[in-house]
Amino acid sequence: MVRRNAAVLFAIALGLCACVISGCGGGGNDDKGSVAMDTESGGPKTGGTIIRRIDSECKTLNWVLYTTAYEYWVLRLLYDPLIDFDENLELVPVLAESFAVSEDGLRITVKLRDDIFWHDGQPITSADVEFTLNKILDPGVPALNKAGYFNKLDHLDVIDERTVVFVWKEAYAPSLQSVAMLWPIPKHVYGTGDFLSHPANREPVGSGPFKFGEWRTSQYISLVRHDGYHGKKAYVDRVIFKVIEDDAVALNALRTGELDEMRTTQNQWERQLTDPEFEARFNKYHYYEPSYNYIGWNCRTVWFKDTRVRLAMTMLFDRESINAKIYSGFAKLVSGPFYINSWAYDRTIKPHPFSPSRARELLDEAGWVDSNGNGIRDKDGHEFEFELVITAGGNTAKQFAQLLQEECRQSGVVVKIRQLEGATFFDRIDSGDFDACMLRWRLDLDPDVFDTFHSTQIPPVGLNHGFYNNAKVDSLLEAGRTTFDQARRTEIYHAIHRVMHEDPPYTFINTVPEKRPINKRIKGVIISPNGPFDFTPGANYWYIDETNGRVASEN
Amino acid sequence: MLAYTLRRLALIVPTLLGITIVTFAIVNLAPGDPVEVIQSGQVDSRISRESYQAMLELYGLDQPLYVRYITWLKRLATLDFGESFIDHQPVIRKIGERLPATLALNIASLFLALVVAIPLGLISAVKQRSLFDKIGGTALYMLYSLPEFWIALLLILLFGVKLGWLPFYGMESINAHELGFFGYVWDRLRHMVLPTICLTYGSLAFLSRFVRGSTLEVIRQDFVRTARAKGLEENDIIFKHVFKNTLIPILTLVGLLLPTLISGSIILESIFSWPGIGDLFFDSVSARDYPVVLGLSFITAVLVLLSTLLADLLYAWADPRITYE
Repeated sequence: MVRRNAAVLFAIALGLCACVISGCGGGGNDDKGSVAMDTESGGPKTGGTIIRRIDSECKTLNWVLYTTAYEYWVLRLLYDPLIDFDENLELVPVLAESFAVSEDGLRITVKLRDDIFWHDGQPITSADVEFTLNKILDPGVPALNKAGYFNKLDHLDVIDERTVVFVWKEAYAPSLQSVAMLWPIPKHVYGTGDFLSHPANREPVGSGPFKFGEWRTSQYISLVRHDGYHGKKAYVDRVIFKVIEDDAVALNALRTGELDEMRTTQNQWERQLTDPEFEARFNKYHYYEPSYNYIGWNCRTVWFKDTRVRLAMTMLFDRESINAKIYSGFAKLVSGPFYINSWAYDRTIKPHPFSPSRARELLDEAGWVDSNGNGIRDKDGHEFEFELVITAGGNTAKQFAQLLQEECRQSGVVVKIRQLEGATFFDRIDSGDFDACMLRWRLDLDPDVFDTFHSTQIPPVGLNHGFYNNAKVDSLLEAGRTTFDQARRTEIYHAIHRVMHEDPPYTFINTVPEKRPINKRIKGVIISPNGPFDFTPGANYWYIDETNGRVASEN
Repeated sequence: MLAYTLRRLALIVPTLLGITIVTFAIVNLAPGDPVEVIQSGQVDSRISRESYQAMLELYGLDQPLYVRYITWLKRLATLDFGESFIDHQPVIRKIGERLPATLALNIASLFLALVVAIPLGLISAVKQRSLFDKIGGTALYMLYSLPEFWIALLLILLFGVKLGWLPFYGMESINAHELGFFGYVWDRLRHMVLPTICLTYGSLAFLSRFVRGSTLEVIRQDFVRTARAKGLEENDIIFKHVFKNTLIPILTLVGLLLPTLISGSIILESIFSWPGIGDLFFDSVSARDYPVVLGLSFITAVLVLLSTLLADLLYAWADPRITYE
């Protein structure tokens, strides 16, 4: 359920598990959840170079082997998926002409278009799809982040040159999304030679609107428009991905016009991008990727096994004021475990209010009262004194933790904050060895959260590290992943959302937007709910129109 | 002398062995492993423990630490540094690819540092306790205490952004190879200016004080007094007699500085996106790319040991009074 990590800088330091609450947050103006597109009169112009930033050297441009967000951005222009999410998060065929799920949900038939070609002119066929899938599943190939999507795949049937059937072991609703995760790579290129050190890993032959140009180690990667592209041709001549590691330096490059876009930090967004000169030259976009921050409660502990205590802790945590103080009111509070822009998320369920008085009542009801007069609540000889683990280095997580600590103290609960280094932290989380923890989940677009909340998925099997156990949630989760009917699925996930609101596994905190200024000379930018890149057509059809930019800079 | 050199060379072997054990242990015992990093810091329940295990085996990380060490050492004995875990390129090639960038920067910096620091130190010594000596010394110490990442950002803001005179990241412009030979060289030089300054200013205080100190020592020697008594020109005394003798400790110092030529500055190379060794080292540590980290550490260790030896030998060569017999 967790995938591509946009928070590259943090991820490096992190280790296993979703990434930690990190130093990013919201701040800014234009609120949007829907599709936004800036249109210009006169139509798109051809030509020019778009310059984008990547924050570190790419390790590879082999789609099967890539692991980081910036590699993904480059590959996104080089390769077309079989099927993909569009700007409304609906699945659409790309290299495929059509795709269909069988009645029983076990077979997904994908028919390829007959006019698709690799950049070297070879046709794209079923053999390439099969080859790519085999590489992903090859135990000698480090492609775990993709192989996970095909765990439940039984095999692939190659019917003919243009038709493949994904045959699944069981009816599994997220399987269509899994197929969308497959971007074929050319068999005739990668079929010979050592896959891991293949020369084409640094000089890829793709299928997308841009083809590989040049790679200068740790400096830049350039892509050029592929004029023989089978689909609609791109507008710009070149897209250059410059390596600029330092955020402050990158921001300066953005200002001097040497970059057209970059991801910014909360601090930069709030303090450094607000001058009129900048506002005049840049469109500032923010959007919510599928992720949320939470405090996980270990339901095996003497304190948090009681639903009332978990509810009380939620009400003791002033999420609104965090939003105001840390994110300038820019993050969105969440009330459940789904992506806020997904159909699965029930918007009628509002987050629990911040209410220390109600929390104290709940704690009293649960039997946690200060019976020995030491100022700390206790029950059956246990003091209410627990350890909250957070990762070292994350300033935001620490601020969150201290806020909770203070509120708890006033209500007779002692919180000991423990900062742990990445890998140690995740070892503790993965084995369920903690009282409470602060984390962030990154989600897939499919809402299946079986692995995180089903009672069978406790450590060491799955990701239910808080040992959450709710029979109703269990049966709903089972139903949700085997139901293909969209309306029915929506009901199921809304029901899960509802139950988890009443019997919370976590304190759901918020989701923090990505913040990205893009130079106004770039047109054709589409911001999907999921951001400007992670869908079809993504950034494929950006074009350059200098008029606006020039006027602006003369102001 | 020969016996001494051989003895020192022989001593390098056990020292190196010790260093490899310690670095190998530190690098491998640091939390996290490359397979985790390949997950980009995520777990995915769809990844079974078995496939995770299979990945560890692929990298040989399922073996106990001492087995891995011996395997690594055996390959090292044949000067085989192995392959990067991340992109499966030979380690030596990855290092070779980055070396020129770091060498260019560090040679320029060392050169600049010597050219500035030696005269400053000499003048300070000759005009000891003068206003120049005091102000110069204070100013250099102030420079020395300014953090280089901060100075780097200030310089970038001033010369890169406000004035727009100099490029402030990378080693060359995107269209650099279309500029013709001189255009290309000019472009590269412009890119070097800011990183070189940042790399240099901090060492000025140290170097010039060092020169000042050793000059003062020489100036008080009897032969200088003799030269003065003979009525030699003050300039002749300073340059012919004093300076030559001052060079001896400087020579040793430069010998000791040699390893820093290839090690690269992690902070500055990151700030200026300079594609050098420091940058590679940082990336590799982040990715837990053990072969690259170990390769770089080993090469640096060898260079440090050799340059210490070289410095000692130079010392004896430059000053006939010193002998190691």
